[in-house]
Amino acid sequence: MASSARWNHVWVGSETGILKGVNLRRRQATNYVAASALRRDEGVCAMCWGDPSESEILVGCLDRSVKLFSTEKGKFTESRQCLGGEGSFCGLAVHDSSIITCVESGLLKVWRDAENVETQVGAGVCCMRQNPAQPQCVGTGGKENALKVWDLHQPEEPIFRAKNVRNDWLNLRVPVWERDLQFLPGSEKIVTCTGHHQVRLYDPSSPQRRPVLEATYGEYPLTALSLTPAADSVVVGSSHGDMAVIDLRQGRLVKCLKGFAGSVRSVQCHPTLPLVASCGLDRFLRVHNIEDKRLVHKVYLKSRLNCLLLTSRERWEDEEPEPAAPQADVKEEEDELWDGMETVATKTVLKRNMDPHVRETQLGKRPKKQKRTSAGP
Amino acid sequence: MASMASAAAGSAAGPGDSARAPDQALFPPGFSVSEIKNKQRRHFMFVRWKQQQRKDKLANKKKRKKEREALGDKAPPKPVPKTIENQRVYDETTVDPNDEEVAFDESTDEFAPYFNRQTVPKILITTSDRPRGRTVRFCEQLSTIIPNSHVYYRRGLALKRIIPQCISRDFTDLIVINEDRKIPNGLVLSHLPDGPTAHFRMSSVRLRKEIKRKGKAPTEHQPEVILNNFTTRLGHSVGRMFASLFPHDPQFIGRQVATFHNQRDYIFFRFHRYIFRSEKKVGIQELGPRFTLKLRSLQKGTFDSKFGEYEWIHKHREMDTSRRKFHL
Repeated sequence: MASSARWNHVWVGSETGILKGVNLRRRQATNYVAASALRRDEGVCAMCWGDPSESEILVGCLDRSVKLFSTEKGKFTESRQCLGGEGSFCGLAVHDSSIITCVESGLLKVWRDAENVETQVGAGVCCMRQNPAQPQCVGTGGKENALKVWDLHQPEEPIFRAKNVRNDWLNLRVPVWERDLQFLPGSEKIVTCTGHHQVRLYDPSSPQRRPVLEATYGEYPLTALSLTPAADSVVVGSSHGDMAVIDLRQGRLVKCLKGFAGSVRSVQCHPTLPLVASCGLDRFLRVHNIEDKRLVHKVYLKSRLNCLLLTSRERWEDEEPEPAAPQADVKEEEDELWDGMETVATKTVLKRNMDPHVRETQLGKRPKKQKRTSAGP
Repeated sequence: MASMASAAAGSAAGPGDSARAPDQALFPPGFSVSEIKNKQRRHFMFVRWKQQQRKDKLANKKKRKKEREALGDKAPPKPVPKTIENQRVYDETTVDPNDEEVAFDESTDEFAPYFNRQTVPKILITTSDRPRGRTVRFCEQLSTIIPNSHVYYRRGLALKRIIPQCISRDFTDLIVINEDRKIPNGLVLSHLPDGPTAHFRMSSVRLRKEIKRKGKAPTEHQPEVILNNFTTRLGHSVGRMFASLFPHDPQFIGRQVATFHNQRDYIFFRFHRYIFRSEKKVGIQELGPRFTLKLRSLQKGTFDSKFGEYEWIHKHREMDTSRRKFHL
């Protein structure tokens, strides 16, 4: 089981401090805990890949410790305290074997063995992301804290500081609340989603510091953002459980993804396959297919989920199941049992990776009824 | 009319001959009542068809009963009738009592201070602005039922400003009864330090004077609490919210019990006084108001409907598609 950790497709961090690895092909979820006893103040608030080959995960917890989890070994290997500032982590990144952390009070720090570099980015930070094309550039944004792009080699001044949009039609200042941001690959553009249900596109290379494009969606704060494989649209999730795909070239809504009952905390698209994984406060992990809006997987993970990481491995169908171990036989039998059962199109039944004692029999499971359409005018 | 009379005559003569064959001839297998264009005749034939169905059903029942008696002990057990509750779609979030992760989650969530006996519940009951008589009386009766609760008049104050004041005065819960057209129709229950906020739709509110065969007024004794049928994870959270309204140690001398019974996602609240007449016989008297709640949303954090994060929202068009799927 330790080596099967590397086959997990999605890594989800929960509020109880448990790192969950979900294998969507075998439909299993495994819990990985740092210490033997769970503690609430070790809730995961930020996660990122430790290296490009995705064999290590950096997990940032509420008590300001960053733990290193190795997917090869299937356990937590290191932990370090990253103190300074107040509040929990809002962003984690890795650059040149040093960790970049950002906490809510605005302290952005680069932890190196030699000496640490730190800057203040302003209070009330909600998110910090690293530019994948230029790893020394990070962007930060927050509540009443406009988007700023920092170069870590010159940490005194940001290289791009965004300006707020013009006053609205009542000549009132438009409030700023950047909840999540992403860098677009191939250019310097940055997409952000705000708590005032706007999606904004900034272009540092253009002379204007105001957003180039602004689109609104819904009436509730947008909490999570991710870029689709063809970087012309974004998937946003809101605090009311609405997830939508918004086109960036025209700023219009393309399609909505349904099925959520709670706030969406984290969204991530696969880099090549048309899949998007999302997790939220309703304790479910969902994987949708972006093209036909179908729900591909739905997994119940028992704690509220804070953040997730999706592997960029392709060809999930070709992955070989684990070499024969006595447990694997039982699992495969049960897999066949589950496969033999009538599957509902949108839902997959997931069993826990614990002792496979018998689940309660499903009483009279009926095929899903068609949606009731309203009759008559 | 003539043909109808002849048809009536024909069918009247039929049962006289023998029970089965003419009736079967009357309703051959390819026959459908709806193909008759004449409305009177069609109605007549439909009535006949219904009578025939009833007779067949009764005959089948008698036959089965005879077979059952003939078999005696070897008879197969009676089939259980299907109800919506036992046809319920299995909910994967149903809490397993042995589950450690859920147990840990519950032991460290926002209600942990109550369940660890670190706080004593203190409730503030208020209404929406300018309540009418019925709502006012309902709030007063609620405050007699819930120990350590205080009713305050809402003078048009914003909830977001009331909440910090409540927290500073050590209130643990806030109940807001929403009123529409002179009857209470909504309930917002907010656990105070930073706890979840549940928004319910309230219906079937009956005040004490409208309850028939009620007992005397509720006394000051702390009641017991019964929470029925909260099986899923969401149900557990809501059940714990209700439990945290009442003080920990019920006074059994008072013989009063508050029941929150969940059935098909509707939560029925009743308040009774019981007396054990013998080991197995109990007499109950209903006191106090009764109402029915339906959960609309559960929000993490105190009341902030615009910018707060929701843990569960009832989405009618997505969640109500199956009549056998319930969420609580």
